[in-house]
Amino acid sequence: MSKDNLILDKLTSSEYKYGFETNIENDSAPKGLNEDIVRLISSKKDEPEWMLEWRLKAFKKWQSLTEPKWPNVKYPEIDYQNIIYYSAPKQQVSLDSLDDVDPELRRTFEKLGISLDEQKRLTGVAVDAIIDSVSVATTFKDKLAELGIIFCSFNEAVHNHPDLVRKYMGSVVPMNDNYFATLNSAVFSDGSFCYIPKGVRCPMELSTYFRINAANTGQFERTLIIAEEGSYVSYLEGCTAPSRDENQLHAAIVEIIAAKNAEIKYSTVQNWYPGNKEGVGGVYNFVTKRGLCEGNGSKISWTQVETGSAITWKYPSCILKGDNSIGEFYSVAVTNNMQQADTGSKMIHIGKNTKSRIVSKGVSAGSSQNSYRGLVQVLPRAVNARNFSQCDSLLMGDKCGAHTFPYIETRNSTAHIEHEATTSKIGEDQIFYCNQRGIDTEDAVALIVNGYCKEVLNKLPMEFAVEAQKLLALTLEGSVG
Amino acid sequence: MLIIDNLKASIEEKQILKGINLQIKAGEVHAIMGPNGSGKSTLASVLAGRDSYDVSDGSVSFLGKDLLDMTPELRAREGLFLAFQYPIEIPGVSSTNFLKAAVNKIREHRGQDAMDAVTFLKLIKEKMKLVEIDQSLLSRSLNDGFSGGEKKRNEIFQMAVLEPRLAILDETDSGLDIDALRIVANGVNTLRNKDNATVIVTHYQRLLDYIIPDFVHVLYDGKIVKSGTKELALELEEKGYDWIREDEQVTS
Amino acid sequence: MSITERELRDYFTGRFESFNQGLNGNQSLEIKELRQKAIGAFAKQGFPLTKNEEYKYTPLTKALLKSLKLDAPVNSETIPTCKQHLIPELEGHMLVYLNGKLAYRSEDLPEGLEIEQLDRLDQTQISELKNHLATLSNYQSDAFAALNTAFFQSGSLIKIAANITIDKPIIIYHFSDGQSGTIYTQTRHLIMVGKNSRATLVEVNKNLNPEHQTFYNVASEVFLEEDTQLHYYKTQTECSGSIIVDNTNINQKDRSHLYCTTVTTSGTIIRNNLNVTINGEYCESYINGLYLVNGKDHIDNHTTVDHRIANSYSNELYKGIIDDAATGVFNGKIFVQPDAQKTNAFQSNKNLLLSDKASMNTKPQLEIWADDVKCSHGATTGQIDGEQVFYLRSRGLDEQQAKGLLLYAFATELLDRISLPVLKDYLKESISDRLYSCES
Repeated sequence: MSKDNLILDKLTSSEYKYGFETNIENDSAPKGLNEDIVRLISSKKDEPEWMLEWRLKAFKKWQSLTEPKWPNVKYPEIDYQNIIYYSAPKQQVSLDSLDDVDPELRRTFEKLGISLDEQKRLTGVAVDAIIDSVSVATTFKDKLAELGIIFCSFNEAVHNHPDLVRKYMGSVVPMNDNYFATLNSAVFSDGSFCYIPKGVRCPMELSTYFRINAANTGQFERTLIIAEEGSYVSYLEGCTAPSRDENQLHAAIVEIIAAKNAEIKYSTVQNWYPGNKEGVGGVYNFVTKRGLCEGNGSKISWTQVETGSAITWKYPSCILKGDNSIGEFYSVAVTNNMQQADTGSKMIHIGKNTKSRIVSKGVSAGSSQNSYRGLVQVLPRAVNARNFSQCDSLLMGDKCGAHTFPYIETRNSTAHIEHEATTSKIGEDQIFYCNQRGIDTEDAVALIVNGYCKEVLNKLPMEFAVEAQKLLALTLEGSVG
Repeated sequence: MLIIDNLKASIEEKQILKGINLQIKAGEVHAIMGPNGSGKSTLASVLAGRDSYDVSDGSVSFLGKDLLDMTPELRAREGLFLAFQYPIEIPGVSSTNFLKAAVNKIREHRGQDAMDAVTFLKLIKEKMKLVEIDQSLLSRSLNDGFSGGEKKRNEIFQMAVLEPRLAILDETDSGLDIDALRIVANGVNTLRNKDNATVIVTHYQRLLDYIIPDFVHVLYDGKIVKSGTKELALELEEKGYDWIREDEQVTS
Repeated sequence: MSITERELRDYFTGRFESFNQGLNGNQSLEIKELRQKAIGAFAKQGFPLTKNEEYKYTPLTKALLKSLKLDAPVNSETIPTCKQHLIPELEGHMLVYLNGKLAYRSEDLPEGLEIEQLDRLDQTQISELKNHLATLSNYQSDAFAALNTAFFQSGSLIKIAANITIDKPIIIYHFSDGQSGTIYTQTRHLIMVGKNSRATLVEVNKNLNPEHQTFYNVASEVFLEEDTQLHYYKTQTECSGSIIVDNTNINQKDRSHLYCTTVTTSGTIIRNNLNVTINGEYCESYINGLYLVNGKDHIDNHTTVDHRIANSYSNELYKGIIDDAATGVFNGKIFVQPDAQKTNAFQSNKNLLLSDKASMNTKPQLEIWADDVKCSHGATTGQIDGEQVFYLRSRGLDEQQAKGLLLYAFATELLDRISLPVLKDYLKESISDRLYSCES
């Protein structure tokens, strides 16, 4: 019960509260994208030759691709030559100790509620803090290292664990997977890397906190998570950005791999700046997230709460290759004002007795457009595949739209696939009932929306769930009445 | 406590209430009876502030304030409670959370501090006994999948927790078996005191066997056509509403 | 020897001039202009390839390229032979088309029912139709609708006056018979039901000579005026060897009721586009479909229900049983436009796969721009419930019987909604043998 109560905390402001900007010195590349920029990024990172080659190959491929037009979103053409592809806070690249973190940066994260001070972290969450695509601090590294867990920035992994990176990078999301993934493969600046050895249950939540700060910069991180046989990890990702009038591009990649009987839980609370009420500014969030259930009995579970971004384009997916593997996708996507979201999941059943579950809850308010797009595919070898999908839409007001595009492809007769979708509104009766008990309309809406999303919110780790509930209320503030 | 003066109200241009006059003092229990379509539930809804009704004339004063001027939540915070004829289902929202939100809003309105979790739990445990409801009901989604009887008992339970000054029970007896009826009545009787008042809106006399009203009013075609004591209810039960109808035709 | 899409496209566009010349003097100016526009739209689009989202799962063009023999001579059966292919005992006002040519029509039409040959209308009649003919057709966006609009040679105008109930069904038979090679046919119907009238329409599609491929491209436009009721049945039960594209566009005005059922049991590739536009208040649309396919047959039902006005109701149920290496496709779109508040729209698609090579692609799609609506869709794909089979076997039925019984029950849920008893029984009988002999 305590989870729901927090939503009733007084809602302080309807403004985006993470919209502040930090004044720190940046080391930035000039605007535009060409081979030299790719080389510059690589050299800034002091990368080995193989990494540079990989980037150049991706860049070449990207030049031959065109931006996808199929998502149900509209935005003016992106000028890829008007974006800065590398920006990093000026500080030592490798830190010997967390104490070396620039105090200004430290304050930035404190303000966002992310403490980089290990002593203050009572909740047992290890954090990799990433600002403008560069990892600035990773906490609890030593403690995790005792268990053989590697948790570090992607750049560090390239240097210190090249075998792992070379083996797994691009193995789930190939370099040429799609337009944005290919772009990322060419210009990614940093990200998080995580490796859980065989049989280890990661004792704390691992978390990456992404923060965009610099203006005109594109954000291109990669996350790579590998869970070896029988291991377990719960991973959290949070995102915020300053309020700016121009749109910012965020094209990230997350690849996760679960070996035999391994389990990975990946949770996201995405709250990039959504733009103002008129739709000026905001982040274009074009992200490729995919998990491979490689081993038998492995499990990957995606949970996402999407409240931010001007445009969201992402489909966290599971490739269920191992027999008896399980894929899950739990999503709450809220759009208000002029936001547009086209999001959903893909579940590809390859192995025997594979199971998947999709629960998607869309909430549209204002003049926003909210689309669910999903694919459930059962391949001929996938004997006894099971899928259940539930896609619900809640509409608030008559200027928004809710759309569902589920694709269901079954090539095996033993499959059992169920898909359900409903569209509804918040009932006037429900609001009146709350009013009659003394609860005002705004709180009633928050209460009802939280109830509607409960199945998904319950999947989030406690600390995130609270944050997510507050976010839902803030996002929808002023959308009724 | 409540003074209704010549209240007229309509829904979609159709006039339902055609001039209601009624005074209720603290400590009293009033029963409003009448045949289907006479305007009983409309009266309850108008007092609670459901916005599908248009009030065209008249006034309502509640504890000295203009009731019709208030939003529904303000009326609730001032102490007016409506037990719904058809309680609304809200999936995913537990009864406990819902009630806690309501309690604290009302406390805030009265200038009291929010109730802490421990005190609140103690309060609801105590009130639960009153209507003999099961703890499991509290963690379930509000009214979602409740039986008819559970919904009605939950309404009385909410009333017990919120301690209103004026409670309006809209057809609370409909659909209840005799045991549930007894439990509901027992709850209402226990809560009854010199500072609060209760209005029972009902079609049948049977609830009034358990909750003895001080006054009985007969609503017919949007007007109160007869008022009396509990004997009036018995007379109605015996003779049916046709008797009133004939009476009405003679007098009009 | 197969040809390319480009060649096939050029064949049709190249043929258009002489075709249009040949019709000269025999057609009105309006029709001539319409055909010109349509051939332009067709030339621009070409035949759809599978990268076209609407044809993603249906390689129609590929099948056409493989099977279509151009300019093969047509050899028609005689009318008496046609008769034995009629649905027994199904009485009504009949129109029989053989290879796209009108072979027979009932005389003595009841008062209020007018049936004309669409290709033989005079200038005055065509002018009267200018608000209807090709106004619902999606020829700007669908190549087959465009092809039909450019080339239709036959078809009917069925006009029902106001305030009339036509008791007997109007039955249109589309027979193909490619005795000496592939034939292709472009037929077009315009159906207008006047205010407060009721009618039943049955369209029967059969390939009389399954050894030969046929390409049957039919387009219909149906106008339901205020307070009308139309029962509309389409059967595609003996269509082996046929490639059929059926574009049916229906427009509903206030308080009109539509009951539409499509039953398909065979066909090389069948593509049904059924588009219902709800342009009135308090309309009701019941759109049903049943498909039982085996062998390598391919059935694709694309439906659209477009709610443009408030307070209407639509309910859609499509059920399929896919056996052998057959493929089923269902794409159901529901649009609820901003003005269509208080719409209730429901859709369900249920499939059983009986074989490891069978496949089913489902894409239900809701697009909602109004908030005070109730919409839902559901889709399931699975197999016969093993528990149910076991239960029946434990009562003495053998496995095949048990499965047959369950399949039959699955299918007849839809057939039971057919209001013409003769047609209902005919269809039940025709599926019963199939289902009781399913191997798996």
